[in-house]
Amino acid sequence: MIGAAACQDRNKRPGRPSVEEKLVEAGLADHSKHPKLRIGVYTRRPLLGFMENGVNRGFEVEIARYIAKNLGYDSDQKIEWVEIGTPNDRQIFLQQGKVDLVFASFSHTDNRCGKDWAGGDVLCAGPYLITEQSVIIPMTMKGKISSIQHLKDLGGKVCVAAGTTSERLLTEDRQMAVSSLNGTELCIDGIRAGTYLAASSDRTILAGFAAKYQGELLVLDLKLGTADRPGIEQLAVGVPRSNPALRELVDYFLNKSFKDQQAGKATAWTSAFDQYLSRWYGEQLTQPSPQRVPDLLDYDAKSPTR
Amino acid sequence: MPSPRRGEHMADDSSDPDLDSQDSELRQRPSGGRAFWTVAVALPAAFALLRLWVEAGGQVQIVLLLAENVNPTNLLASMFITGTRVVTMVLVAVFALGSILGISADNAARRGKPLPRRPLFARWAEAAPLWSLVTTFVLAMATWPILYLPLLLPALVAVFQTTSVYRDMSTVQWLLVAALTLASYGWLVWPTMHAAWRQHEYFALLMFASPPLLALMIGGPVPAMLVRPMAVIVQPAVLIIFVWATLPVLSTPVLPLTVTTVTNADGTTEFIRGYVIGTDDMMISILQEHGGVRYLHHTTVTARVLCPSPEELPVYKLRVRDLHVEDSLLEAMGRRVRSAPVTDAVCRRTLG
Repeated sequence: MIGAAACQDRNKRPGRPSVEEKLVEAGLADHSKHPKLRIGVYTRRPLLGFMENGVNRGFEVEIARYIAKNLGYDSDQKIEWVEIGTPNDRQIFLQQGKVDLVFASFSHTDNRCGKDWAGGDVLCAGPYLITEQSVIIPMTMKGKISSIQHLKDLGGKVCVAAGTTSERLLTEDRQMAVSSLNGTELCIDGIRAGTYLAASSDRTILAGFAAKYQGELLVLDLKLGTADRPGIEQLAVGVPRSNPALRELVDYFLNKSFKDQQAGKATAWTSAFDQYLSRWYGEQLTQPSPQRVPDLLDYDAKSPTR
Repeated sequence: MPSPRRGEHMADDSSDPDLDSQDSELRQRPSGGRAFWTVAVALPAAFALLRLWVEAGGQVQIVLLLAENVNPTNLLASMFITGTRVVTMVLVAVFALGSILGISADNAARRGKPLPRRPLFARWAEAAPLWSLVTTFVLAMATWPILYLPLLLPALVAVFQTTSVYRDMSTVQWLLVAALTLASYGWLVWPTMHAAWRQHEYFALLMFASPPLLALMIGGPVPAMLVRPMAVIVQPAVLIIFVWATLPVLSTPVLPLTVTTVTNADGTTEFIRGYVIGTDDMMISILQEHGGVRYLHHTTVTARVLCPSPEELPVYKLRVRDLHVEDSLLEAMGRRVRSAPVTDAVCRRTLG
């Protein structure tokens, strides 16, 4: 039996792929062939992705840095930050191979990411943040607008970006009259000019504007979602369809951070949230569990699970 | 079941002419026990030198460099760390088979079919003092992968059946101890066996399921007609397995694996994966993983990280009460004291 054990010990191979093997498969193991990781991020979105003294900053940028570091691209010299100008750029850049990853409020839809995150127009990893629809008002209206009924009473003074989840929620589910504009930025400009008294959008976006115009705007702790349409946005990392190994690696490292958070350890995610979002977001969030975590072999595979 | 005491048979059969001739032969030759202990002490030292040769990639100059820089105490310590597993495996096999062969040889002599000479392993097992048997089993328990620990059960029964404690047990006591041991063992490893079944890991299942059954049957002598063939086949087989199991130990690195980041004069960054052999006021010498030695000036080194080697990746996804089956008890305890450090991504890269 000892003989059999000795032979088995030397010949048996692991039954699952290792992180190193996936890095090779994703084309990221050899930096002489892939010297920089190209990541698509926003550069003008307060709190999430913006420029400060020529350096990319923001919650999404920090999550991107965490993933890049784990993939072996551990400094900004090894990252090529690709600016995402409009929401449409995200999918186009991925499909044209201009970026390796996208961290730009890319929310999960069945068309984009496929049902159950199995792959659609592109591949999606994550989510790295689950957010909801909320409302922003001028600080002068604090206390005067605090409920759904108050919003209904405002009539067309509520502004939304056309084609967004917020618009569908307010008009179809809440039966409210709203003004639909071509972007949340225009709604904010309208509030500041006194044209509108409230605007609705994704809470992270609204928190960004509250931070940008400190003292002028206030994000309400108001749940707009309904049972039929909860209005939840799951923000995903966009990955080109041609690179499923990279999608697995991103999910693997997001899950690692998620598990560390569960174990009560400090993570890059909590640090990024505390640095950029917690003050403006209105509530303390935790990192969500990734949807499709691959079974990869890593050096901590023997570590205690509890 | 408790077997008859070997020493008692020896005393009873003291007038046996065959045993007399065997004793006289033993007196004329150096004792097998003495030879065994000489080998047990000398072998690690010889091994340590052989390992340096392998470590150097067969290059004479690098062997000399290693011999000059590697501290002998550290070398023996690393030898002990990586070699204890193999050495205790061989010792346990020798002691277990030696005890069985010894009892069987006595039994054969009593039945009028004595062996021409007492099997070598039996003489080694008899020469080993009780403290060395206990030490061997304790070391094996601490250093063997948990997957193979069940093998110690039959070995333990085989070896300690020659002790007075075992022989003095009544059948009821023996049954009680066996039942308690099996029940505890079942409680401990049943979830692991179930997981092994679900994962189609039949070898692991066999490793956990068969040793306790073997332990129930292993006590006592083997049939007289099998003793001689067993001695002829099993003894060389164990030595061959020893050599087979030793080969990986020979190629296990003596020095820790690191990746050193170097900034060259032209501003480019280079990562050197290898083993730091030595360092002085000016230079650091690194034995590169793919061969060859690099000398680096201190001022060019900007970072160094300790890296795991791919051989450390486990094969199984099985745990016994949250302890990974490929860890030894010592390793598993260590992981609980300090959890795994984050692997630096530079360790994962394909480096030149």
